Amino acid sequence: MIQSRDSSLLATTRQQVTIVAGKGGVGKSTVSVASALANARAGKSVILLSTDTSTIITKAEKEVASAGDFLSGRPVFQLLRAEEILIEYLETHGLASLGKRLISTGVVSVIATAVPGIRELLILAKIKQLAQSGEYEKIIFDAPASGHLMTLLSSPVGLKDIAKVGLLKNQADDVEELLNDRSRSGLTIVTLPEETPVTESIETIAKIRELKSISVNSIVVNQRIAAPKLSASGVASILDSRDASPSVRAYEYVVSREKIADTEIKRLIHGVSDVEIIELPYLYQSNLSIADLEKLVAREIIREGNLR
Amino acid sequence: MSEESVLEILHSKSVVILTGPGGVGKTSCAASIAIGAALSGINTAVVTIDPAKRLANALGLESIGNDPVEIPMGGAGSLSAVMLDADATFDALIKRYAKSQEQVEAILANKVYQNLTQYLSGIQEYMAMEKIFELHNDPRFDLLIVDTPPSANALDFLDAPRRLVSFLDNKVFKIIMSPSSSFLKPISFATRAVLKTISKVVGAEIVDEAVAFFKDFEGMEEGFRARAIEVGELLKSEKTTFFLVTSPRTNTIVDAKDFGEKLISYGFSIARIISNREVPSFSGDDHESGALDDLVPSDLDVLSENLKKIELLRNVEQKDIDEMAFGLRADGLIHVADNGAGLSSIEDLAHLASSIISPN
Repeated sequence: MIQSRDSSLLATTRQQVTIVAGKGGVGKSTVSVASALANARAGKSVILLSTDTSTIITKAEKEVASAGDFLSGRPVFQLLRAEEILIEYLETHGLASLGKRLISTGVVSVIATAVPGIRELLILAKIKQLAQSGEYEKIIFDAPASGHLMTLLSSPVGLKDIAKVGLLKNQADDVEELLNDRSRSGLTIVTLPEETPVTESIETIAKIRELKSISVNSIVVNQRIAAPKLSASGVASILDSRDASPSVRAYEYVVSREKIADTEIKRLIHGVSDVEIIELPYLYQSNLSIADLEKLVAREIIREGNLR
Repeated sequence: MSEESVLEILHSKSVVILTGPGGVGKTSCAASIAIGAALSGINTAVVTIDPAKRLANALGLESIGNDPVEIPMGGAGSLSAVMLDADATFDALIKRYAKSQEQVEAILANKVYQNLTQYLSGIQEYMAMEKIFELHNDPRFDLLIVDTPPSANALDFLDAPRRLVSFLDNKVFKIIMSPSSSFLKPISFATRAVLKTISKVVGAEIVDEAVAFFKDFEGMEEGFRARAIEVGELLKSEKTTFFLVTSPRTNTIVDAKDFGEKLISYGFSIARIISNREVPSFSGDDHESGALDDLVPSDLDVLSENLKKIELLRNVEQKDIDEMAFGLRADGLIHVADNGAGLSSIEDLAHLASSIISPN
């Protein structure tokens, strides 16, 4: 398979259902929103699902709501909560009165502990239901950062081991089928070009592949810094000199960070195969606006670095 | 506000807990503060959760576990590291509170129990606190530096003891266990109906396992409750303080501020805010060697453009972090500049330590 180094964000969402995963602080929600915007730009109907309200999603939701018609397919945002899905689920199975009682008495929390993955399965079941409804061409799930990704992905299989009969088993079967079908679902991992995130991504991908469930589609390397281009003689005279002027030191700082990013991206490429790696540029912004995200969407990363 | 230095804080407190959003470098900060404390003569233990491999290597750690491992430092104080093993900690607690060996075995074999440390939210945090309590009473250590697990919010950590106790107090399952009480009979019927329905959804085995868990646990809740209260008191006492770690990026600051506000509302004190990996300042000494004279104008433009971008970013970061620190009325804000190269050796950590312990 090809390892493309320059690619558009659309590649993160090849299938109808995409799960976006990554550790805290890597920009997972940012990438989820940017992917949703990229798809909306391409005229797709998109829904972005999350289990928590993050700053960037809240902001995107607000801005999209007031954006007028600038997006041909406007992304829809929805929060998923396992407890609410359970109530909804029980209601549709004629067990309406039970749901709230289960939650208020703490039984759900006991059961969720006895049956690891039940919350995750409920969320995946909801996603499956949305996928089957055909309402959206693209479903993007911003998976919880501190949650258990492995629990999420193995929940159908794990639950089938425990729950041999019952409503839960049927759900698990359907969800498993969706995750196993690489024409319908895929996973995108978000990471930073830094040591710990790259190491964790390599480990995570190995573990996911062991599960033999969802296919890993792409890795988004967020905040890939690139030093500005100087002429060859300019670089040489800066390297030669012991110049400590602010502009030179600022340049050297960026070069140093770029070097780390290069090393880490190389390590990532070496550590995982058959995955598309998409780099998003570092925008020198502390607070990304939707306009900044649009830049990420529009501008496929043009590498200016010296990595060959 | 009279300001104690970081070193004074480390000398006067017994427990320093580093908290903050994920991905900000809490583990590195905890390790480096511990190194700094040990070097200054304090017998220190750093309690960490799943350190990045390079950090473990930097600390000279290969086999680190639930029991403290001493790291030879050659400083005035000793340095030990403990990596939290929530399962082992919980097992040890069970052994302490169980009435009999049979009870221990029954609980350790129960599926609900086996899943508890992984899947009941807040348990990792609770076990971290349990470990703190145990180490606090260990005469080998004067100071504990605690790296908290990444969690979605600060409440997971602070709320953990209460959550475990209320989990163990589950009324529905308690009633199931005591069907003899005639007073409880009417509730018992309703409860049984609930459990029957759950069986339909998840299967009867699971319900049986859950009931067995509460039966096995019977009599131990008191021990846990008492312990949770003791741990809570240590955290709120004068002996404990918090360092809030954040990065200066706007979204992270929003989360960190939320952490900080929750800590304060729970009555905890934040001794310092550490703003980690800030864009460095490049202003100041302008030692030009004349190299810039040789540059073509387009290169000069590139350089000044780059500097401008970085300074702009730094200004935004500084403004945001100052506002947050002001909003939380924290005693002190420590700026840690990004070195642009990461941390790969004990020297890097010691350098980080000096920028935290003796800023400027």
